Amino acid sequence: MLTVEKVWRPKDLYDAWSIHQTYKDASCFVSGGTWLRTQWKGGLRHISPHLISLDQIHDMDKIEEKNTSDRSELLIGSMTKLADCIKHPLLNKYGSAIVEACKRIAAPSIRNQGTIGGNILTKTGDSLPALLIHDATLTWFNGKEFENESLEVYLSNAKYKEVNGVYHPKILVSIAIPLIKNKPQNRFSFYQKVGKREAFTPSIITIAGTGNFAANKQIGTCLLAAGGGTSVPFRLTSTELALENNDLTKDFLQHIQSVIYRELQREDSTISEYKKKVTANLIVYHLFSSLKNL
Amino acid sequence: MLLDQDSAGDKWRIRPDGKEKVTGKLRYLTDMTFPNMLYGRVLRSDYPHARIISIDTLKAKALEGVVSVITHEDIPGLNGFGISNPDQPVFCFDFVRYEGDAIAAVAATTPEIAEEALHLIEVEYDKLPIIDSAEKALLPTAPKLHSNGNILHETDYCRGNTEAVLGKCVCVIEETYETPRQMHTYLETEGGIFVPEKDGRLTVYAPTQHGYKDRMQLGRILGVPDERIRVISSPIGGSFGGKDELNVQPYGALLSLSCGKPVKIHYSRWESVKAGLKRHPMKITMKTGVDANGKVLAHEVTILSDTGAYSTLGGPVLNFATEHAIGPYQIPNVVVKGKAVFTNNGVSGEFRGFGGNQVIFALEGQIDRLAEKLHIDPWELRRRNLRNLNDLGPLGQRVYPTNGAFEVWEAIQRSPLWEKSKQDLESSDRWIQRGIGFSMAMHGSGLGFGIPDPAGGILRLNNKGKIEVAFGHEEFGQGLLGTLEILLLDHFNCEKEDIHIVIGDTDLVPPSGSSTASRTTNMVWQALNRLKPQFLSALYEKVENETGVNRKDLKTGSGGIWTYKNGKKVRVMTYGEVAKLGIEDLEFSTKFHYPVTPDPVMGGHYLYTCTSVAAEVEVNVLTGTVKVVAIDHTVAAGPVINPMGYLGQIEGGSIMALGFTLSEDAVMESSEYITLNLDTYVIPTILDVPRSQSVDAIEKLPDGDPFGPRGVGEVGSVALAPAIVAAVKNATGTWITKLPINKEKLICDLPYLNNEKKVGITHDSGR
Amino acid sequence: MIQEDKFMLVEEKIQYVLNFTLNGEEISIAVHPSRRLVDIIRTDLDLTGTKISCEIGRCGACMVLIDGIPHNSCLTMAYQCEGKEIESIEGIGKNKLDPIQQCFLEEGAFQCGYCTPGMIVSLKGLLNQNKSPNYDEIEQSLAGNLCRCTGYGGINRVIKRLSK
Repeated sequence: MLTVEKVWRPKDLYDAWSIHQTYKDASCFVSGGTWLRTQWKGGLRHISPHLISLDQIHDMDKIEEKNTSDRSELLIGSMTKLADCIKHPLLNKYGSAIVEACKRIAAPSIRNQGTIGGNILTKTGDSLPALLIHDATLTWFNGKEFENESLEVYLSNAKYKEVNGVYHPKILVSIAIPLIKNKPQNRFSFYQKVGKREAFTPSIITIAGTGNFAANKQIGTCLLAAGGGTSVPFRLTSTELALENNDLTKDFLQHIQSVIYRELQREDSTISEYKKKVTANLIVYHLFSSLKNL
Repeated sequence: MLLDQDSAGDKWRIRPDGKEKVTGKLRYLTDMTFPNMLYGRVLRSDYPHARIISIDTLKAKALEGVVSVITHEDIPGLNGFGISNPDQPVFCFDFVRYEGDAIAAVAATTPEIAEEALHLIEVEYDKLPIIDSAEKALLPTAPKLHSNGNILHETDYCRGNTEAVLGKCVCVIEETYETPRQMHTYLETEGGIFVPEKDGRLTVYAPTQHGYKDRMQLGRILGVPDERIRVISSPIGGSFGGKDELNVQPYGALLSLSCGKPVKIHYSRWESVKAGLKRHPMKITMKTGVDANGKVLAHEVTILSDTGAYSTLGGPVLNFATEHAIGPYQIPNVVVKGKAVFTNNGVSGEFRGFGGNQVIFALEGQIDRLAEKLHIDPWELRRRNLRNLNDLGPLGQRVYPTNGAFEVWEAIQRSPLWEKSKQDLESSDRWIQRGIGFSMAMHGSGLGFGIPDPAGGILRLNNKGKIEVAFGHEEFGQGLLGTLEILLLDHFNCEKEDIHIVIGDTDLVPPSGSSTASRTTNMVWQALNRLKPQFLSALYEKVENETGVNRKDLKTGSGGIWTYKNGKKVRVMTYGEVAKLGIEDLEFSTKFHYPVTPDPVMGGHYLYTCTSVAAEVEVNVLTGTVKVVAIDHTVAAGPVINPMGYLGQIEGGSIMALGFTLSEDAVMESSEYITLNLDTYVIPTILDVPRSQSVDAIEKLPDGDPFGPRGVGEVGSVALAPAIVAAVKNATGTWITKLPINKEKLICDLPYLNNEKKVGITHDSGR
Repeated sequence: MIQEDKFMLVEEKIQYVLNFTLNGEEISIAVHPSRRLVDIIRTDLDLTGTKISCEIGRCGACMVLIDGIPHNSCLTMAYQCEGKEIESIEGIGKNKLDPIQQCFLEEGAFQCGYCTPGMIVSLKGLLNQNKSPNYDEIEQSLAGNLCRCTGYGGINRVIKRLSK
C-alpha cells in the first residue's frame, strides 16, 4: 500500500524541480491539495511517496498588472487561492467572468484552500471556460526556463490524453490574461454553470463568452468557450467566426444555435444531446440578453 | 395553526440535548474510544454476483498489528440477519449476491493496518450473471438468487371488478411511474464500538432505531442469550429508517469477542453507500378510470419493487405501498398487485415514508391527469372522491374515524399559493416558467395489522429525587427528548431539573417497540397517560403518610409536592425528601400494543395522518432546471406536543422529498454503485430550498379520540413530489413520470425568440 | 542524490513535529506530515466536536477555522497547518455560548446535530471576515455544509436573525 513518505516544501522553483528530478514518478507537486486528496480518497489516483508542496515558493500567490511597451497583462500566480481571486480588485476589474467562475467552484471552504492553478490542472475545472475567453496564456517552469503556452493549446493537447492521472512534468507558475485597457464600447461578458443542483455541484455544462457590439446590433469580436462534466473545455471558434461582423437578428441567432450545436458535435461526438442543446440555448440567450442590454 | 415560535409560545423550547450539540461536546457513539481499542474493517465482495470458491485469510492474519481475521467459520450462532427474515448472511461463504456482501472482517491496532489486511485476504470467485433490474429478476432465464426464487413478496388486493368498469369509464388514464434509489444520507455513517466486559457480557455502542431488536438479532448471531448483550444506541447522527436494520453490529460484536478487546468500526461514506440500505426503486403502473362527474370508478395498480439482494423489510414496504396506492380516495373497484423482487443491486429497506412516497407520487399524478382530461379543477376532483369521517380504510379495513383528508384538502386553500395559483403567473424572464401544484396524502402510522407492535415505558421517582421515565426509544435527531421533556413538565407542572429521561440502553429501559413508523410520539404519550395516575396516587399517598397532608390536597410542582395552606402555596416535601423515604413503591410500568385494525388485513393501518402540500416552481426552459421557490404544508396529526420538533420533521421530510424529486439517485450500473460519495450523490444544499416553508398543523381530532397526537416523522416526506410535478406541468405543459426529474424533458429551443406569450415545450409529453 | 539539507524537508515518517495552536492552546505533536487535520483533531487530540462524514470536502461536517477562515479538515494535511492558528467547535463559545450557537438553539436549527458544529464554524468564519453580512452572503457561506435533518428550515431562521 502506497503512503506518503515525505513532504517537501521547497522555497523556489529550482529546488522544487530538483526534488522532482530525484523522485520522478514517485513524486507529485501539490498546491492546495483539495483535488489531490479527493482523488486519493476516491481511488482515482495513486498516492505518491513524495509530495512536493509549492506553498513556500514566493510570489506564486499574487495577482498583478504587468505592463511592457507592447502589451499589458494581468498575471495571476498559480498558487492564488480561489477565494483570493474572487476578492481581488484587478481581477474584478478586468476578468469578471473569471471571478464569476471562481465563485461557482465548489464551496467557500474549498475555495479558501484550492488554487486557480490546481483548478486549471484538473483540465475540466470551472475556471477554464472563463480563462479561455480571456485568451489566457500559461507560464510553465520546465526545470531550466519559463515557457509560455496558450491555454487553448494546452487544453486541446490535454483532450487527447487521459484527463486525470497523467503526470505533468512541468510546474504551472502563472496565468496571464491580456488587458484591454481602452475598453471598446458595448462590451459584453457572460459565464454560466449548470449543475445537478444550485450550489456546490459538479458542472454539467459551463459556458463563457465575451466580445463587443459594433454599430447597432452588429457583433464585433467575440470569444466563446464551453465545457462541463468530464469534457475538457474548448473555444467555439467556428461559432465565433460565424458571429463576427453580423447583425444579431432573431433569424440569425436561430442559425447560430445550429452552428453551436454542430460545432459541439464536431468537437466531441460523445457529448450528450442535452449538453448540446443547453450549451446552444445558453450562448444564444446570453448573446440576445447582451444585445437587449445595449 | 401556522407553526412558528410565536404561535407555539412557551412550548417552543430549547432541546434538552441542544447545548451539547451546538458546542460539539456531545459524544456520538462513533466518537467514543476505549483503552486498547482495536479498529475493525469488513471485506466486501469484489462482484455483485459470484460463487465463492475459496477464502484464504492466512496472509492477513500474519500481518503485524492484525489481531483477528474472521469469516463465516467464526460465527457461533446464526449466520444471518434481517428484521423480518434473516436471509442476509453475516459473512458469505457460498455465494455473494451484491457488492456490499461481507466475506471477512479484520481487527487491527490501527485503521491503516486493518485496511492493509483487507487487501491480503484472498478470495477466489466464480463470477455469475447478474440481475441488475427488477424486470430481469422475473425473466424465466434469470438465475435464482435465493432458494425460493427471485420473488420476495407479492401482494394482491382486489375489490369489485375493475376490468368491466374501466371499459365503461368516460376517461381512463394509464401511466407508468418510476422512482429513484434514494439514499438516507445520514451525516453520521454507520459505526459503533463493541466492548467485551469482565463479566463476560458484551456492550454494544451502536446506533439503531430499535435497541431490543438489535439485541435479539445479535444474540441469535452470537449464540448467546439476549441478556448477555447490552445495546446502547443513542444519540444518533441521523437515521431516517436506514439504521433500523443491523449494519456494523455483527462484525463489531464478533471481532470484539474473538479478540477480547474493544473494537471500533466506523464506515467510510463509500462503504456506507455500498453496504447500506436505500429506498426501494419502484416501477408503478396505474390505470384509473372516472365517470363524467369525475368520480373515480376503477383503479388498477401494479407495483414492481427492487428489493436488492436480501429481504430486510422489503415485504412490509411492499404491503405499505399496496395500501397507500389507493390513498384517501373512495374507489369502488380496485386491484393492486405488487411484487418485491430480489436483484443483485444494493439492498433496499426501510426509509422514511416506507413505500408510500413512491405510490403517492403515482396516485396523485393519476388524479391530476384525470382532472386535466376532464377539464375539472384537480382539487375539486379530489374532493369528489375523498373519504369521509367513518369510511373504511384503503384496503377495506376498519380504521379509526378520521376526517383528516377533508381537513387538509380544505386547509391548503388558506395558503397564499392557492390564490396565486388562480392567477396568471407572470415571469420577468420568458425562459423562466412558473407554476404551482398541489397534492395530498393519507399516511398510516404504526407497523400495521399482523406485525407485533408493542409499546411500553416506566415512570418512577429515582433515588436522586427526580421524576424519571425510561423508554426503549431512540433519539436520532427527531426530538424525542424534547417531546418527553415537554410532556413531563406538562404532566407534573415541574421544572426540567426535576426530571430525568432514560432512553437508548437495553440495560436501563423497558422494551417499547421500534422508533419507526411515526409511532414514537403516540406511544410515549399513551404510556405517560397510563402511568401518571398510578404514579401520582402512590406518590401522594406516601407524602400524606409522611406529612399528614391529605393526598387530595397535594400537587406536584417545581422541586417537589405542594399544597395550599391558608390560601398560600406551600411545598410539603421535595422530590429528594420523598426519595429518601424509599422509592421501591414509586415505580410503575406499562405494556400495551399500538392501536390496530380489528380486521385481518395484513399490514393494514388503523391510525392515519393526512397532509396536503402546495409547491411553486420556476423552470428554466433553457436548461431544464427546476427551482422550488415555495412550499406550504398542512398536516392533520392531532395535537402538537413539541412544536419545534413537529415543524422540523415536516421541513426536513419535505426537503428530503425535494431531493427525491429533483436530484437524488444512487445510480447503479451492472449492479455496482456509480455514485459513491456526496460529490456525485447530491442532496439539496441550503441554496436549493425555499427560504421558508409554512406548516399549518390541524390539531382537531374526532370527538372522543383516545389516541392523541399521531407521529409526524414521515408525513412531511410523502406528498411533495407530486406537488412539484404538478407545478412543473403547470409551468411547462410537460408531465413528468420518472424521478428524479430529467432536465432534458424540460428544455426547449429559443423560447425568447418566439413571439408567443407562453412558450410550449417542443415535445408533447414527458414520456 | 540531492542534498536534503538544502530544502525545508519537513519530515520523515513520524519524525515530523507539527506546531500549531488549537483553540488558543499551543500544540506540538509528532505526526506524519500528510496526516489529515481531521485525524489529528479527532483521533490524536480526542476533540470529537469536529465530525467526519464524506472525507472529500463535500459535506462540511469537519469544518475548522485556519487563521480564522473555514477549511475542510479532511482535505487539510498536517504540514499545511504549520504555525497556524486553528479553531474547532470546541474553541467557539468556550466560556459563554456564541450568539450563533444561541441562535441555533432558539431557532431549532439542528436535529441530529451531526452537521451542526461544521455549520457554526462556517458562520463564525464568515462573521470573522464580514461583521454585518446580508442574507445572501450568509446563505452562500453555508453552501458547503450539508444538513439532512432540518431541510435548512431552522438554519434559514438563524440566517434571518444574523442578517438583521
